[in-house]
Amino acid sequence: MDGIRTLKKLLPLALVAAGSSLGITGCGTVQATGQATGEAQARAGSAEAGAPPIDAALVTPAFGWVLTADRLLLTRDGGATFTDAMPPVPQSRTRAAFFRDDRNGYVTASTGNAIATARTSDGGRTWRIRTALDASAPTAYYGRLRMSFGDASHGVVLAQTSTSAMSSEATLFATEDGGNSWSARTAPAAGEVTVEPGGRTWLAGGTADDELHASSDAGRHWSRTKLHVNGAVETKAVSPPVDGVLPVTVVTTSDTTEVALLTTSDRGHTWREAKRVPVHGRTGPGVRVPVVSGESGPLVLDTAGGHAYRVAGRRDAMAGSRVADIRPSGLPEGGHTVTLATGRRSGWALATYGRCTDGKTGCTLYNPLMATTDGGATWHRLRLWQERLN
Amino acid sequence: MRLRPPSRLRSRSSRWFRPRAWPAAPAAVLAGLISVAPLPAAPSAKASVGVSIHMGWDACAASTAKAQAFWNNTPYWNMGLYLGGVGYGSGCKRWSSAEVGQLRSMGWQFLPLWVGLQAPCSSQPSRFSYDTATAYQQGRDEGLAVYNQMKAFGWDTANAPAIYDLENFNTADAGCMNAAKSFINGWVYQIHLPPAQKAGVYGSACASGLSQYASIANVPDFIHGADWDGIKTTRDMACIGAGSWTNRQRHKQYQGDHNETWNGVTMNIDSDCSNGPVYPGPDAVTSPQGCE
Repeated sequence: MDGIRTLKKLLPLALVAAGSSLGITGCGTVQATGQATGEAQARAGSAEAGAPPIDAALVTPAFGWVLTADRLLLTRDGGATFTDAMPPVPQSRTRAAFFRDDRNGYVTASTGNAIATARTSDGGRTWRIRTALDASAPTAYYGRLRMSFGDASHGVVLAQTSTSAMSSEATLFATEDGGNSWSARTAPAAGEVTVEPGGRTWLAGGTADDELHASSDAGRHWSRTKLHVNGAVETKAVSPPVDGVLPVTVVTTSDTTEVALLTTSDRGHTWREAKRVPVHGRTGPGVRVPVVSGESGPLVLDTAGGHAYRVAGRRDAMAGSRVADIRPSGLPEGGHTVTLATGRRSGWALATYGRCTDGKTGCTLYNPLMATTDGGATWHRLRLWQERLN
Repeated sequence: MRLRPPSRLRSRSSRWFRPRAWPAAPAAVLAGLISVAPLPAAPSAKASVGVSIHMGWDACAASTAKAQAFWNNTPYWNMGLYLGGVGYGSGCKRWSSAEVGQLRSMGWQFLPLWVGLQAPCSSQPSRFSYDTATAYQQGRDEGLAVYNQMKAFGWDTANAPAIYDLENFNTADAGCMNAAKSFINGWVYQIHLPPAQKAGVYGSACASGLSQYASIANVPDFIHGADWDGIKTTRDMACIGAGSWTNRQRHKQYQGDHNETWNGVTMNIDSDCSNGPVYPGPDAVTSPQGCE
């Protein structure tokens, strides 16, 4: 980590040029020259060296990416082999990435009080860099980044500024020209963000992660949507909509976890519960049970592992639909980041779970990257990152 | 920097038991105008304070059953416990006195946090004043409030640590920074009134101005800095000088909100590493976990 620390201190100086009130502070183009030395050719299932994944996604059945604090691993063969694309952004845990397809992608990282965003249009071979800062918050310090693009033009980076569990504040950096320029605007909350084609942006977050906000003008104006979840609940954690369905993880007053699936009939102003899926996993506040859009409807992946629930029917047809536990083999507990690629047969899941060998000693966090090629029925491990805690 | 003296030299809400030997006016003037040595600490009370070098977590409060799941066979010994304050997150459950007792009986040692008024230039809804004298008094009021909450929980407050959660703000705004320094000055002053507690400040290591509080009249006894670099050691904290708060006076929040699953329970937590005071005792300075 010493290397990361050093780079963290040096790169902001290199990347951040003189500020401007418009927010764009620097740009440049670089060639990713270190791919050969950066290749991560560890065999499937063996433990990876280096920092654990921050995020990962399978974009097409063949192309996917894994972002860590010090690497951007790309695969073009479904995860059999990975290459480090070495984007020219600071190495830190405050990073995010997004690929629209196997050629066009973005990686962003905090440089302290600014963000540096690298864009590729050739699958990670070359990168163009932009840096942006929020002129209204010169001493902001970004702690967590999330990124999404809806199309070739519209994208956002949500940069969290608050740090405590009692606060939820963030700055939204938005682009409407594919990342050439970015504008900083105050976001209504920190959390998870997605952008639809055309630019409508959804932000699910808040101190208790129980809010959903929408903006149709790149974050200039926001409206908080109304969520109707049935019955009394202890806590609820809202995810951004997935293919027209809004997943809300609820902890009931009897301390069990269920996933409410909400739909809308007024273009997203109000959402009403259409289906409830109890899960085996027990979750605390702010935990979102992963839900993806499967072949025939939503697929809920249980944080307990070994269970996933296929909900037949989409949107309006969901209310009377059947829920089937497909009991997937190989799905570990602690799943938190799940994607299905185009075609919805192939997908990845990141999980994080801990084990101690002797009471409070010998503790390790395991971060497996799992893959499926049959719509989530079976999973196998692609990579494993281990963090020895003590 | 010279801090303006408080406008009200006598606190309206002084602790009822405060000895007459502590005249309010001279003490406040001393605290507000010049750097003075820390007030004498009460004898160590092991029941109410300990020094921990262990890992911990904090979250928008969960059930005691889930806290239990994060105790057994996990690396975590400490728990950030939000006691209250006007900034307490809406939607976050509040711990009852009985639940706090249950958490203690499990073995948890706490980083007791109070989330009250925030910096006047922040976007938080409840803020303290730009006026330094008013801010000083507001800091004192918050110190009294956390004390009262600790007493309501039935805690032995002697030497007990209390941490003020001061969220990020524009530290380049000189007026705002001065108000924050005065506010924290009042907080520490009030916390040090007999029976003295240990005053801490939590915030972004860079964006809450933590380093600035090393030079105010009443210096916090310890800090709890958020620096999400993933590096556990409390020695390495962005924007904090290596010479500040060096004598087991630091907690570090080294990773922000993320999910971890232990014993079948998934929580969204911040990860902390300690080399500083926790409540209650005893000291927990064996089984090092890389926090020192």
